[in-house]
Amino acid sequence: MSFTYIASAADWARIAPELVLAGVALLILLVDLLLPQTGAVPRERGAANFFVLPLLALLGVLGALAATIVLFVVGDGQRAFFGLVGSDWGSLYAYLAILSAAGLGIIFSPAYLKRLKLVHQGEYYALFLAATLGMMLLAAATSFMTLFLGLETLSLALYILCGFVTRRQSSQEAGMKYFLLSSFASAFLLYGVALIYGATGTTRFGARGTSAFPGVLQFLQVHPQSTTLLLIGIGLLTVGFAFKVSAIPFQMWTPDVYEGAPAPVTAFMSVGTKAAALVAFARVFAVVLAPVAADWQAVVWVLAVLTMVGGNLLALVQRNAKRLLAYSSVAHAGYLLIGVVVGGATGLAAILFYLLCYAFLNAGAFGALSALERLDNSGCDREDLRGLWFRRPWLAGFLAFFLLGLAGFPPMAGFAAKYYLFFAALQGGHPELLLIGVLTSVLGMYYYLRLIAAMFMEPAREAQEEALEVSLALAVAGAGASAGVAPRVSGPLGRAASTRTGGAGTGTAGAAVAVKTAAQATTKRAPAAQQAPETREQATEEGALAGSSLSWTTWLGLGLAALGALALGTVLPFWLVDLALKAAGTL
Amino acid sequence: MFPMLSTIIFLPLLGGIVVLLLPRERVNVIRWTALGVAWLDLLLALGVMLAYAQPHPTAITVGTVPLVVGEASPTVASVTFLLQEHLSWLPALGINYSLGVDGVSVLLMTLTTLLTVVCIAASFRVEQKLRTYLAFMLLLESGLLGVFLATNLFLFYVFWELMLIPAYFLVGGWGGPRRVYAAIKFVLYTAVGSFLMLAGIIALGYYYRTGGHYTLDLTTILNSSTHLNSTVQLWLFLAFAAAFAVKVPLVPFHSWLPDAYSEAPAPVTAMLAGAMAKAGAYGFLRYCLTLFPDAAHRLAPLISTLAVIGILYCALMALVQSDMKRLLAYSSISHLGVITLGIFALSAQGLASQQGIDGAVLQMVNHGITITALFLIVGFLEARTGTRRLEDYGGMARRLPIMASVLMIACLSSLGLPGLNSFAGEFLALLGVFRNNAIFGVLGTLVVVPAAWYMIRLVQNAMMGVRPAGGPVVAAERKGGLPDLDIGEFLVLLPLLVLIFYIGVHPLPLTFFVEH
Repeated sequence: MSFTYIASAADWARIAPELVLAGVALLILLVDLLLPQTGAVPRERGAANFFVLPLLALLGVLGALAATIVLFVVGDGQRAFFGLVGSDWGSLYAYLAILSAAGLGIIFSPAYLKRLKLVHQGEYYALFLAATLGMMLLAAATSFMTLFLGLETLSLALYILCGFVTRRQSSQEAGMKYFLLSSFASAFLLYGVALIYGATGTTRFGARGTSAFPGVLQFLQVHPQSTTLLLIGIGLLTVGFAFKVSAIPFQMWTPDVYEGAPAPVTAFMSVGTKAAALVAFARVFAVVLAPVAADWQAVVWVLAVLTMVGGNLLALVQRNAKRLLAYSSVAHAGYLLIGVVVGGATGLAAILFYLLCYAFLNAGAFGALSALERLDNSGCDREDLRGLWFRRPWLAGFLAFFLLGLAGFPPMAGFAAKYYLFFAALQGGHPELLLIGVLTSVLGMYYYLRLIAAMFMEPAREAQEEALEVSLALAVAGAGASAGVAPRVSGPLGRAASTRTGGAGTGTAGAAVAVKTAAQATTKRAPAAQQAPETREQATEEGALAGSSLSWTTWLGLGLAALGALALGTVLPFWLVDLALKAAGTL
Repeated sequence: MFPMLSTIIFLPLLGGIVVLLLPRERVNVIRWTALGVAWLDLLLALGVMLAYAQPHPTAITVGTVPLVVGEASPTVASVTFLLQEHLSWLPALGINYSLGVDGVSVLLMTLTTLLTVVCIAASFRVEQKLRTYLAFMLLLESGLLGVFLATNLFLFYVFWELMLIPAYFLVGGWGGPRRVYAAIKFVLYTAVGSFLMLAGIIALGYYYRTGGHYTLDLTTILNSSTHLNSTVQLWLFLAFAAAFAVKVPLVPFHSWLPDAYSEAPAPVTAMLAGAMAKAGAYGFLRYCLTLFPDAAHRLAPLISTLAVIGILYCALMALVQSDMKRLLAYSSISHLGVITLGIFALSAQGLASQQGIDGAVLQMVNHGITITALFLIVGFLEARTGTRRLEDYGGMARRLPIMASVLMIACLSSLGLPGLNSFAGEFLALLGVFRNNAIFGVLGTLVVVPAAWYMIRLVQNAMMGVRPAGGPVVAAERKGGLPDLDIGEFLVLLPLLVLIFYIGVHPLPLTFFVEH
């Protein structure tokens, strides 16, 4: 069979957003080399400027966003490269969610990176954009090959980003865990793709209503009875997708990875991966495999119910805010799966609109946590959040805003999104999913409100306990310094030297050598110790934030996310929902 | 046309934002700004009330629409609201921004704005996080007003949930020692009901579709020719009733209330009891009764039974409370039971009783005024002595003659003394019940006995009798004396007292609003 490959200019134009991102990612690697470097040894060497690269990355995202909007207006919505990648409105709508999350993640990054002294920024932002690119490719894939390509691009970039804080064990664990489990799931998916290829003879999806590039859809329309081969293929595909959207029982990786990864990365990946994987899930199942819906609908129904109930139940018992949000994101995946089960234009539109709303809320919530997270990944426990309102009222206010939005309170976006999704469930003939969704939302309300109660209604820890902890941490810091385990950590980030319990032992061992460091630190902290416990706590927190002159970027990100969440819930839905409805028809 | 109702709803919200932005040290500026905003809103509401009192031919309230059971159209006359505002929001789903008033909502709107003024004025002693506190108070007012003025079910739900957020923060942030427990319990109970109502609203829009067009506008729904079959009505009624029954509350769903009312600071409790509880009763009247007449007819005995159980059980519970706020909380549930009973006093044919509804609405206003006064007085007393236990008090009337008199008046009003405000409302409501169902009437009327008993017990134990030899009251007296109501506190209570007497003597203007 001869095959002439001619890609037209129109094909390239259809993937303009991806091209912009790829170009800027390469540019970032280049610029990184030109920036003045600091650091004594190679592993600590990196760009001294924490502002240029994120700005560049953000411009890249904005460029991609602009390209997306241009495609919305003037694009032909056709598939590019012989039906491999879509440029339809459905894909573009998914781009909006992914790019919003990426933009917010990038805005949250510089302050975080600077505070934790993570200097390898070139790699960080390039990988960030590469992951975004992969997500967009996954969402726009109209062939199983492109789908796998997108999936691997985003996964490989995220493996590294999750383990980016090399001095933190939990971060490395997150990267490793994500890598192992995700590769496993990818293998399932790939095998499923192979079997479907075997059953249908094509890897292309095929578009609705046209026979231009026939694919699986056209094959199934002609042969609506599924063969054993196809059934096994669908089963394996389900496993792969369920893993990517972290549906129960394939959610095990989610809490560990979300907790261990740097908070800005979590903010981005929790939304972006979910958006991309869900759009792909919806496209493959609710559109391409729609002719054999009877074969998979029950399975996805069970997945959705398990995920809604299980995610919310598991979140109830979490004490760490990042873990809690991880389980809540599992629960949200469950709500989104309702859209896949329901299918049809309304179901798909509900998914698209929900994802856009969710992007602002979840990225905002993790962004607020990124301002609290310390190097050893502490700072996000409920104990740490207690009385946050009295110490940092604005941060607590923002976090509460996003949590209330996620809980589904109007007028934030979460409510509008949920309303539309539940409406789709009823319209699609699944009133039971509406009821289950509504009741599990009540469970959800409890854990979000519990966290808010800890921040707003409970006093900070007892003064004495606090004092003890500070002295202990100082000893530990000294120990760390003497042993040379983590030299850079000991100074301003004294409290973060080690986990508290584990640190106690080393603290006594290295106590003798620690005296000097601790003494220095104590003199520095002595005036603070005499102040009221609340002010002192504030002092320590601000001490931990010292050197982050870029904290305004975090505020900018929080403000934008809040504005987006509010706008999506109040004034924008009237045309965004219509747009989603139109976009869903083109998936 | 000037969007009067939107202004009334969103003025407090904007005022709250302004208050948040004021400098922290200018305490007095903050207080007076908040109070000024609340006053302005009250004046606007009074303006609307006066305008409503002018003769107007088209307005027919939902409350007076005779309910017809069966296949006939549920409404006889077309239902209209005054001062309507309409803005397309999500027309594809039948979601619009539409507001309007009828007689019932005019009354409740004015009541809410009045109570906000009183409660903000009573909050002048709050010091901790003053700006946020006042902003939340104003936001609560916005939510409540929205609930009373919305004529689109989606919008109604948005405001219904919106008022939950400030209430949660106010109870949990400024309350007593068990505030976190109380606040979370309050929100969870309410949330279960609300979410069921959300499911009901989604389903309602779905059932009232014509072609591909969904609608959630109250006027369109009430004037539509679609008639839901009785099974659907039954389920939807239950879904809506879940939210309202928790909010009112009816008895098996009431256990959040004593905790929330006793833990919240007094002005917040007054807002919750005076205004927010009315949102539940309003919901029953506006939505359950008019949207699902068949189901209302079938389930009225059930709701009435629950209301009667609540009336008697909570009156007995109030008898044995030693905490004054808990006593008032239980009395509040008991009184709201009478209101619910009046609303559901349907005749054998399923016709709503005019007297029942007149009385219920009148009683909503009266109870709002009286219970606010009571909670505020108890709050003033607690601020002086630091205790709410009845056992700690005794013989206070000598030390605090003015406070004792005011408390006495409020208590007498609460127990329904003729000549004071509550009498007319309770009498009318129970009369309506008697007409249609004598058993419920008798049982409901029985409340008069324990109601008098627990209120007199409150006054007697706190104000009369022998002064305790020791305890927190004496300690407070030694420390700083026990000042009587100062001029500010008296001015806070004054409008409520005036209304207690005025409505008692002259309740007709209020029934005018209900009937027109």
